[in-house]
Amino acid sequence: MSASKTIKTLSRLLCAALLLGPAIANADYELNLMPGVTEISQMQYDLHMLVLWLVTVVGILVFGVMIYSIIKHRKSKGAQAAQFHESTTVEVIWTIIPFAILVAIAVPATKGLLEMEDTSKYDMSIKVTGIQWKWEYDYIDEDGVKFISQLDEASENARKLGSGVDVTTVENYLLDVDNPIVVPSNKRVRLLITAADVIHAWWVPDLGVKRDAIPGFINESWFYAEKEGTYRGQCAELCGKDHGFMPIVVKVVSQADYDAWVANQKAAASASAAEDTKTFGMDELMARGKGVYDKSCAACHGPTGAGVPGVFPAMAGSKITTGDIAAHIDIVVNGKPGTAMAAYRSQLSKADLAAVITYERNAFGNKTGDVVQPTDIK
Amino acid sequence: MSTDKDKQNRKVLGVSSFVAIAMFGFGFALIPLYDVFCDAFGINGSFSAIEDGTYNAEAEAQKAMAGGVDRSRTIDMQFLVNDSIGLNLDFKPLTKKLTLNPGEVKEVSYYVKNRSDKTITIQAIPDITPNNAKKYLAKIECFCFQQQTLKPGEEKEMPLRFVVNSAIPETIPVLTMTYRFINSHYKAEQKLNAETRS
Amino acid sequence: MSDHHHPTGIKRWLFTTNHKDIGTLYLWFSFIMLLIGGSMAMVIRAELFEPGMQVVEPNFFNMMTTMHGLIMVFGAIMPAFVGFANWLVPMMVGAPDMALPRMNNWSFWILPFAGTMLLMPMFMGGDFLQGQGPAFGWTFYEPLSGQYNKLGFFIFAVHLLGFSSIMGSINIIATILNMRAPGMTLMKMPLFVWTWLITAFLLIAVMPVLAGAVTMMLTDKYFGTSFFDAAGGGDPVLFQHVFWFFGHPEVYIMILPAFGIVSQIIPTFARKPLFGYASMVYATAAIAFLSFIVWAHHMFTVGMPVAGELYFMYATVMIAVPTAVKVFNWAATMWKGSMTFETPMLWAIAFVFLFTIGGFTGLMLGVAPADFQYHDTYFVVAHFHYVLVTGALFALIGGVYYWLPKWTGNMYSEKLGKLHFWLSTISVNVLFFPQHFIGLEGMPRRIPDYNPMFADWNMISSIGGFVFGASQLIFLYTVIKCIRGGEKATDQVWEGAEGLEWTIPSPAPYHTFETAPEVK
Repeated sequence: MSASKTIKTLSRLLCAALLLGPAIANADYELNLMPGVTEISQMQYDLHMLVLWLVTVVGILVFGVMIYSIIKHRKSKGAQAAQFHESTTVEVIWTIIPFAILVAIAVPATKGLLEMEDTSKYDMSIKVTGIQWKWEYDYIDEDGVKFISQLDEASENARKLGSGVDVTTVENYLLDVDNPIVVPSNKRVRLLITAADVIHAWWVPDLGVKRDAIPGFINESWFYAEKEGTYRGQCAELCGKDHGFMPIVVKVVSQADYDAWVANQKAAASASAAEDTKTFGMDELMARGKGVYDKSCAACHGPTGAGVPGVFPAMAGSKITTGDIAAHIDIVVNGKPGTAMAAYRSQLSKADLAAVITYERNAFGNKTGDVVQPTDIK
Repeated sequence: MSTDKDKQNRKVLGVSSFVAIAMFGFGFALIPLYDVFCDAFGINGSFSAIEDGTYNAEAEAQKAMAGGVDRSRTIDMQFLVNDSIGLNLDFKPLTKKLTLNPGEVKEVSYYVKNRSDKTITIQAIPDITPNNAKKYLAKIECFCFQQQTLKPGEEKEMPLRFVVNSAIPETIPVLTMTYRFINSHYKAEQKLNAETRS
Repeated sequence: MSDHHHPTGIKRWLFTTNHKDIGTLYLWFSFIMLLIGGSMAMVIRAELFEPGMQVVEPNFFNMMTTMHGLIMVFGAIMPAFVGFANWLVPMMVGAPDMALPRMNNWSFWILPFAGTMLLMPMFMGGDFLQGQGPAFGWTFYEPLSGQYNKLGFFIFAVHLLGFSSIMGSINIIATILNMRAPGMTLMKMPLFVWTWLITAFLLIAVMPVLAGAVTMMLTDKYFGTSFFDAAGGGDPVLFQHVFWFFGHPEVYIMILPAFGIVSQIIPTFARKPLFGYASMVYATAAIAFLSFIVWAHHMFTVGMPVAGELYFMYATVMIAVPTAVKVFNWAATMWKGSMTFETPMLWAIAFVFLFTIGGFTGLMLGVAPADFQYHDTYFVVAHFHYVLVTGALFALIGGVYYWLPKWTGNMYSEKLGKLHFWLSTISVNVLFFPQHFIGLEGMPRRIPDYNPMFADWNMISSIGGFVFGASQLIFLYTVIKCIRGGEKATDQVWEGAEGLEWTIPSPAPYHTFETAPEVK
């Protein structure tokens, strides 16, 4: 944001503050939780409002008493201090009242929780895997529909320190991905949520779903969206460096559109499988490898392969990228346990793996001249 | 007077230190207690018994089949794998899904291939979603009952024979069985890694 | 005034076993930590001032949020309360010193080393601006924390902090149980002493559990165990259970002594005894007990069985009952009093109002289905800062103004104190209240950058943050000015003050109550 924009925002806020409540309420700010688009998110919203109103009323009463007392019972107004300091009756009353309020909250909250955890129906299942710092979606009912979803290119370029991009001009800044998940409307979608490295959390507020993705374990959640549309969310559990940059986009479409999308995905999958046995030229691999590197590797190892000293190893002139090819392939394909280096076997196609390894061995001043083909990836 | 106080102070010091040390131990005890707690509430089902090697497949199967086969309804089964973190495996289910009647015995298999150049010993860790279905699933034969040793490049088809108890509530329409492998020698190798790193 | 010979200069502070000296050391240490942690918060608010990355790299940002949390919790708030306990508990119960004075020295002098060890990795190896220190959140969830390559520093720092806290607590318990003046029965003790007694028990019970948790992390990382490591058959969720078994009581460790301080201040300036003393004691004990059985409400989204979620929801909202009783009691103490509004009273009243707001949002967060929306958003950040800043910190600052004349013998500048109060109270609300809105709008916590829809309130919040940060320098100035001189304080200091500490001269002599006073 430029300085003039900052000033504009500030003056707008000042105006809003001067005009008080109504101006703020009419501006394009949200002050409150949104009811979302599912029954669950509506229920959460209703509960939120119920408790919010209850505490507001209690707050007005308690604060009112205190403010009255602060105004009236001050020494400067000649107030004499009473000396009472105990009343069992009063104590009992103000123990029982909060308790009664809690029961009034607990009843709908229990109902709501049971509703959320009711997994007795389902129409389709998607396995969601959190990976540092992207999501993998596996449509387990549809063979071959499995893809990685990560921050879209426009946001990715804009979010760099000193990028010079005015992020207010980027559409859905930090809330857009390259491959959104697509689901049909009016279907109960069962999510099987897990993670490959550290804990993440899959959260889409409009769908009322937030669930931790835990490595080694599967968590279940679900949503049923009637309204077609695009719903956005973010990772909600700190998962390392780029935790703030792994959004979630869910597109709810008609059944027909969904079927067409699935067919498309399957066609793309078989095209990619055909590449597994193809032989590429060096230039082809280098060009493709750069694209893969910038998208999947540069976040840690740096766009120039410099890495981050002490945190992420450099690519330029490193033992791995200029040494034994097999060891290089092994670390890219299988990752390094106990570190942020993921196993890319499940994230990239063989052709992409071959390309990126070739690129790493011949870029950043590395000049091994090695060419790795998809068939070299075991 | 003052020696009296010293004695009392030392007593408080002694008792409090003992409590602190005991609570340190309690921190560690939370680990097994967690399993005990989960078992008591049926959250783990018989799964911790599988990991402990105390699972009695025959008895569990008999218990699960006691109610006979319920032909009036079906249950969907899904078979998945989860990331076997730190292992170089090709691991997948050969059957991805099937539909069965509660009480009937079914067999599916999983495929595993050791893609590393070392011989590995691995242990499968089972998981079931939803959690509360665990107690209704009996495994008659499972590759998770014992460790698997695979030579470099060795591949295996591993059977899984199971039965779902017909007492399973109707609120559970689908069961997802998930497996992942852990390296049985992981601890020893981790330690070695840590030593070579330092 | 008894004129004992004691060393001067640096040796006085290094070898001191005097509870007042040690209390002073604790208070200065925690204030320095408050400034360090606070400047980290300034970095956070500067980065979040506008959308887009302007100031720091993402990993550095994560390091700032992590270190800010750790330093404020373990370096600022907890030692500050121990400092208060050191100064006041012996004076309030009529004891000449703490029960175990040499251990007292040790429990303080561990702290600077622990603090250094905690901060050190930030400056070790590699590029400082890339964030070399811990960047896994103050809750250090596994397996993320296990990825960090200098974990050992963090773990030993936590061990040392734990040792310090436990030794401090043992000392406080021994002092309260054994050193009371004749006639000072338990139910006659000032409420501050009561809240610290209960807090000390909490500390002894849960600090070792934290020590156990980090020890398991240590062996997971370096010695090949797998308690929490999924790759070795461990369970990362188990870490969270162990952590929050410590972590929830920890929250009350940071607030119960604050309740105690406020319960001393309000009656003084209302010129009226505390309403419902006994129920205050029971409510404190009830809160402490409940704190052990509600931990998993921090983990509603981890995928617990529904029965577990229901239990933790019910147990959690129950805490609202004893907490409400406390607030009602403070209100009733003010009712029909004869109030004046010197600086300590202003802080105490602000505490009651603003802590109550934090309590309200706490109740909202306890309602599990709604928590699925609030969890890990700025709504949570707003909640715990209302509880810890306008709660714990406000009580501490109020307490400093309240007892400063007794400690220094001089009155602080009422003008500066009030300026500090009004600036802080207004800016802290500008800082944290909008964070409720940002959270409800859907902004996750611990992110360095955000969509422009969250921009306006973030900017307001940052402005509030900068003003709040700067106003604490007024506090520093006021305190130093008061130490250096000023209008002489009377022994009683405050017209309505009651308790043994107000019967001794101001400033409190180096040795007090060498002959135990008689309490009627």
